[in-house]
Amino acid sequence: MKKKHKGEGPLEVQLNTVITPMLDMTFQLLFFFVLTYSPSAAMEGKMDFNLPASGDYRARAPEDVNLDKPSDTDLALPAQLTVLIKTAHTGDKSVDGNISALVVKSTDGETALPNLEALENFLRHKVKEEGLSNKDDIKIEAESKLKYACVIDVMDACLKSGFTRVGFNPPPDLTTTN
Amino acid sequence: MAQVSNDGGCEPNLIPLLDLVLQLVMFFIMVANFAAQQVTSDVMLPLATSARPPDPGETDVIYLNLNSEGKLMVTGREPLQTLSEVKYFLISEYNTAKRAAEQAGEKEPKTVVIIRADKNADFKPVYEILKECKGAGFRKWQLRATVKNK
Repeated sequence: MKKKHKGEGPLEVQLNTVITPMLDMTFQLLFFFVLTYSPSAAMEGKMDFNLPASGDYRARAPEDVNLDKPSDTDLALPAQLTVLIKTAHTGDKSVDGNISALVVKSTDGETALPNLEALENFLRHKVKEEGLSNKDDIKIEAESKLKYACVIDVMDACLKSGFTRVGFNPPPDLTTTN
Repeated sequence: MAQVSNDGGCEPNLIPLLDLVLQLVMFFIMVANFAAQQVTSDVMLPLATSARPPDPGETDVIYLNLNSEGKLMVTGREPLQTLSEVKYFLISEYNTAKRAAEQAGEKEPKTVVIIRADKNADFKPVYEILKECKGAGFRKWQLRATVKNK
């Protein structure tokens, strides 16, 4: 902005557009959005996941312990079906941690399934069956060395087949060794 | 920060001032943004078709990032190495949340624990952290995965 005073006439004000601060601001904003843009965060989603409600009471003395009540840190739901996921222990890193066997345990017995697709179809069939009274809850029992991605794959299959709540049993290899 | 114009008058040069202000604004926006998110790009999330977009209204959350080695990463701290460190951290977080809830007149904290575990992590540390979360007193959980197109 410039002011010109020509003789005794009125004060003349000449306005020039100052681009520099605007450019500054534009680059600052551009830099900010480039830094904060994260495509992975935009694609991130939540998984339905429920744990059973905690016990009504916590034992404050040994004689107060009620073995009929579920433990407060128990992560298993009162489900009729349990999906057991086993993993290989060969020493080969490309194989270990992946699913080596899928077994659905129920009151009728155990059913081994070859892959995730078969598991999803089996569970979908079970949900439609009249024999299953609890069609909301299902448990996953995964071995401790299984990769988390494989657990999520099985959880995904359970949710897609119609179950709404997924709980976790303790890893079977930990409960046997401890 | 003043320029003498041809007619002898003084006018302030605002450009460096604006620069400085914008730098400061950007710094505070970025610091606030990263502190609020508490997420790390070191964690490669697994894929899931049943994953749904998170609720933007959930603000009372705690992010637990587990790296591929199964170590719990906490913003501004070294990864927690032992289960007892994890236990202590979760109990202190729950106590903080509970105090805040009591001040707000609520009985129990409504804090949602968001578990972001690396897809290559073993199931054992994830299970142990879930168990410790429940033991600490948290009652709401979420697992995070990358949305996979059907």
